[in-house]
Amino acid sequence: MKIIVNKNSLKSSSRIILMILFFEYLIFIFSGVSFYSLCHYPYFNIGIDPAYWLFYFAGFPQYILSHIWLAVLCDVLIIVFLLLLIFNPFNNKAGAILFILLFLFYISLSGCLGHKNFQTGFFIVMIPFIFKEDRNKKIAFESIRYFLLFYYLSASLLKLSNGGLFEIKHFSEVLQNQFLPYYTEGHQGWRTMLNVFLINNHKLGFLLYFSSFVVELSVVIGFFTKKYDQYLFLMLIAFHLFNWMLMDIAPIGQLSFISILLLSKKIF
Amino acid sequence: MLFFPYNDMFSNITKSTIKPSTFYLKVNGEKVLFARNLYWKKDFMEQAPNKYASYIKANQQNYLALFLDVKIKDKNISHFLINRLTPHRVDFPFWAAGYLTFAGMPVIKESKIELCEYNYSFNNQTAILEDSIILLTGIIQK
Repeated sequence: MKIIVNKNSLKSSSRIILMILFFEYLIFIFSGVSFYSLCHYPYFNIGIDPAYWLFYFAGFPQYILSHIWLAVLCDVLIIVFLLLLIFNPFNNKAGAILFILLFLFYISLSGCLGHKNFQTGFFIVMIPFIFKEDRNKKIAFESIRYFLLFYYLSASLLKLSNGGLFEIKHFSEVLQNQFLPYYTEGHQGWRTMLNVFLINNHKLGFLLYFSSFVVELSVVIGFFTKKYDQYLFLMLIAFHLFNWMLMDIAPIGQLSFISILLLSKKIF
Repeated sequence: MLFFPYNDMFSNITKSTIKPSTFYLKVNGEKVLFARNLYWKKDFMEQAPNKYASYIKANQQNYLALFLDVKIKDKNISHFLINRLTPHRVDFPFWAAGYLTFAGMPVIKESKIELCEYNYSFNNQTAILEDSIILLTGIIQK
């Protein structure tokens, strides 16, 4: 099958994705989360995922996080390589190094965190940049687009199979844990008021949970056509903004990944 | 699985017997606050005491250590893997020093530290703090 690549539009789309990723990584650093900030944090729990095992078995995260100079170097290299790639998105060597660094960062962060954070987009989005040939790059973009679709579709299907969708009080019970630090520290405002309101109104909570199921399920359209990718992008952004508002889960780390849908017409 | 597109966030029904709770580290009686931090730092500072409390409750073993111990019958292999894939004994003052460093706070020798659990319930108006438990106490020794 012949794959047609418009080099200029692939370049400009790649630049937009990388700029969003750069912005996200700056937020990581300015919020105080980086290789450097994880230095000397002694606890980790990597669960039963072999992808983590390989890295921890080799001792890479442990070694980086026990040497401040190396942790700082990794942070600096991420910024430098991101800038380098924004300048030239076709530099696949820089892309490969950046992918490894961001993947290591995710592995180290979620290991120290002690649970898998599902916002993995910030390193998965780097996969196409590993490839040198435009054709391969385009196929990789296509693959991670499907990964993205499966990722959100699985969320809707698991809401069905795990039973969350059949329990009307489920979302209200989930919400009980989301804002506890705000109550403990006495920071109360409209979001905590909304939190209490939804905890006490199970039906409205269920309606919101059901809406999230519909949004996640609707990405199934993307398996058949790319025509509606921009609408899917807007729906997912709205979904994440509501998550932020209602559950205090910000989409930082996932935005560059979702932007593939926004730029789908230019990339493919 | 990291490279499998799978996301089961909030799909499992929570047990209604589990009380809403949050965990804090206290230094000389003052809570280490984090709610006003940006997302990832707040998430880390919220989750880390929670996970460490589970580790302490499981007799200083994390989930992977328990998993490997049960699943792998050959004790030599399971010990080898546990040694490589789980942290060596993380005592409370050592953990607290790491947590404070992450939080960007000074780690002062001889400070009194406590790991506290706060349990909540809800009425129509707000969240009500039902009880708070001191899970661990210690002294920072740097």
